[in-house]
Amino acid sequence: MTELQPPTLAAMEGLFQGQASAPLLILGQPNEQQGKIDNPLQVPGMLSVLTYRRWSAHVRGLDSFPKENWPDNVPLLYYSYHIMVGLGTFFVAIMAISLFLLWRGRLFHTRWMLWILMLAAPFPFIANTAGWMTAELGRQPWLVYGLMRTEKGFSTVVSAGNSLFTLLGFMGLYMVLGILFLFLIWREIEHGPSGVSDSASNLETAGSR
Amino acid sequence: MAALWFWIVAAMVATYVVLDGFDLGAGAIYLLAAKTNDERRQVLRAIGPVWDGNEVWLIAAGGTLYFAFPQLYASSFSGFYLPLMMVLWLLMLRAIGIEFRAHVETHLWQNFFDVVFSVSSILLAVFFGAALGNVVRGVPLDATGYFFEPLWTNFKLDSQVGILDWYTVLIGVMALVTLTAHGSYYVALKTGGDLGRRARGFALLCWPLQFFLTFTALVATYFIRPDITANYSRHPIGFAVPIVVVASLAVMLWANPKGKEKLAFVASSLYIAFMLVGAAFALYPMVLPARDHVYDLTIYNTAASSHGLSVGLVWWTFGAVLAIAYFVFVYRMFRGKVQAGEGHY
Repeated sequence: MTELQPPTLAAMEGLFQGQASAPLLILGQPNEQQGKIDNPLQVPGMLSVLTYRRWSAHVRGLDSFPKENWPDNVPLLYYSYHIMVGLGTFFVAIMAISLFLLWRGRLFHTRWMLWILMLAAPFPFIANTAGWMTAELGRQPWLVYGLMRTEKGFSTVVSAGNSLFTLLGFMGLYMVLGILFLFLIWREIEHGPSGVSDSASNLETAGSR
Repeated sequence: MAALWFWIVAAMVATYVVLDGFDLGAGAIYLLAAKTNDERRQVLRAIGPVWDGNEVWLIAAGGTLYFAFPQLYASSFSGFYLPLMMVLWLLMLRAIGIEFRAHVETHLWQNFFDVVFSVSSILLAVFFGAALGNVVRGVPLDATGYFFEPLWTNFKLDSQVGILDWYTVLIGVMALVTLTAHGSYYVALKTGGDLGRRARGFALLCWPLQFFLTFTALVATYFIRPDITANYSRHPIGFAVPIVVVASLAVMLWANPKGKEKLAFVASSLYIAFMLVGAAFALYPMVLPARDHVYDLTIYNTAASSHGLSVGLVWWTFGAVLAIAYFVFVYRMFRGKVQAGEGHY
């Protein structure tokens, strides 16, 4: 990213001003009008380490690029990226703890961990979508990076109304599919695992003879 | 190179229609031929292991089209935008109809998805036929190489053609009858008892329609585009096409009542393949004729560069061999009649 799409990296990380020893932004709201981050929570120098592996490296900020090469929607890109990375870190953390508990043989009896694991089930979908948003928003304003801009790549013969109709059609179909999917998954979960109690009782009867 | 890829794409499209055609045909006769829940499950188990892989040939053909003739891809997918999106939705609905049905054991749920499956299959057959009709009839391409057609205008073939006019609707109906027959032969091949008998009946019912429509469509095509036979006169080998088409129609009629289900199905496949090959033969080297012949899209003005095409040939061969080997394996694994009883569907 740093090498091939530097404006995208700058927008993703919320780096408005290029600087040596650039900080890694954990939390904060990008303020595009004033070109700064509100309420920043930063790790000093970390971005330089992650991108160039040197504390003193200069990372280019959005100010080094002409405005027409910035991604269209910097705040949305920033938030998508941070949601994805934040959730990813959360996944690593709960998996590490779960692995430790499993190794100690205590995972299946640690109710608080089991609750977290169950409630975390929808998060991969969100993280996945946020990741795709990062990729697609980050590539803007290019369709083919560096070669063709999005505004040059659309079908001139297809009217906007036509596109909107098909967009609504797809959204409607996917929404219905999503509801059906949730309904079917709910039924499966309610039904519970099949055959576990049967095989356990079989083992008991076999062992007692 | 471009000519070779023309025939590769034509072959892939023909493979798709022969394969997914029987899934669509099975869907078309589904509500009428399969009357009990058990019979409906049998039809779904007949197409079950193979329908998804068959549909993949459409994607493969589309992808190959994009690779080999990018300008054609750009032009046709923009110009046919709305019907293409509708085809996508119908494909999704067909898949949903097949796969969701078995999950809830109530009449409401199962009948609903039965209708979704059947109606989407029928509409897909009509749409594909209309698409072929559009390609043969020609579209209003302009100097930029793009066009846009509304869904319909006045159903006549004057200066303002729509996607649906009398000719393309005729081809759409012919496609529906052909694929219904094809699906009936497949269901008859894979099932027995009352269901198989009814499927054979449907195939027999379709035959006179198929026969009539084949000749009507040929006459209509000649009427709207007299130069369609030019390639045939120039290369007499093309006359193998009508010979095989007529022969396969005869075999279908003879084999079906005799219970030679496999032969009837093979004849139907040959019929479809050679009708499409015949259309490709007539069109060559045009890929998308224009209403005004100056703006025809041919293989010469739409093909990708020859270096790209040569590299692609290596990878395509590799992929095609894998795909065909896998298909042979799957069809052999699921050969024979569908057994009554337990199954995923």
